[in-house]
Amino acid sequence: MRRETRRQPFHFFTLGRKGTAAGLLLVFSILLAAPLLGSPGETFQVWAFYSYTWSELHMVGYENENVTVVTSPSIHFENVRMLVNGMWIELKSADAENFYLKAKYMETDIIILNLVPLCRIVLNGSHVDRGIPLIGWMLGLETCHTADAHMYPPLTWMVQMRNTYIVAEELRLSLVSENVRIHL
Amino acid sequence: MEGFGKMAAVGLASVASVIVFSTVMGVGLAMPVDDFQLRAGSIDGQNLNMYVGTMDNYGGKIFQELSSATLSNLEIVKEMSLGGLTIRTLIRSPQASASGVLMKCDNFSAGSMRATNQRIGPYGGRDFAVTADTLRVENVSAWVTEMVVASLDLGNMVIKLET
Repeated sequence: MRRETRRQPFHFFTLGRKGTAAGLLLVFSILLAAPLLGSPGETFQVWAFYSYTWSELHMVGYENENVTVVTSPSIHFENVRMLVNGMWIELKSADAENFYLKAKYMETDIIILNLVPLCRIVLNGSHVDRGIPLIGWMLGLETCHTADAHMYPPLTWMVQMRNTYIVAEELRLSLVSENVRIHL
Repeated sequence: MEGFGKMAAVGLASVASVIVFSTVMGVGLAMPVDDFQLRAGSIDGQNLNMYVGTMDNYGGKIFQELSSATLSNLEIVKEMSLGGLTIRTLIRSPQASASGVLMKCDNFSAGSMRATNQRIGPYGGRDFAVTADTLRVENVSAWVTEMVVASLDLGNMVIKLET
């Protein structure tokens, strides 16, 4: 006859007093740390055909948040479409002031003097996935580096962007725009 | 024949008066009014909060909230079809002001827009919303499915009925 044992199925789930305390401590520490980790965050998408600025332009990657923050005191956009939570916002042309964008992903064509295509840059999280050859070091947009570009006139108006696509977490600006359409 | 003509005229007049009465009472007494086209020369609003209602609760409409708004050249157009006869009610106001505005619409277009401190993200008490401290839109056209206002002042209102 088989000897009776105290061993139960899934015995490894039963914890002793110390184990229970350690488990509770682990659960509480995760619960307490959750707000610090930040929520996954919803995103919205932005498409812009053409944009330029005569002012400063900053692109800074933040590794802890895995985002690149794009800021400019004033920036101009043409043919913008935004998909925000199932709602389309379309702007024919827009002048933005105090522009602040927290981007999870961004890709854009860089053109020079409104004419000459230079390259396509891709920013993924806080990193540069595809940079600008040769002058990348000057703009702080070198491949395999955290984005750290600070452009000032005349560099900003020499470097313009076309066919921009952004997946963003947050956008703040003051806006003057023409031909606005909002629809589902 | 004369009698029939009189009866038809009385019938049409009563139908028209019911439509005008219901539309005007709805708008004038700040009661919910649904399915109409809104046009305005300009809208100046404060504390915009724009978001999309969920499909299950709100039928996936665009919600626009403004704490207060001033509208110039406001025009509300409501069409009703009764037995093949289309009656169009127009309410016009050169200058209107409203507070506590909630507009539920299918689409919204404007010739120009100016917004200060506009934000897209988790704002206005929502997980995801478009908010702005002040908003000015010009040459506005919107298809409104429902509008609720806390108070409304339609100065020099004109009501017109077209068949």
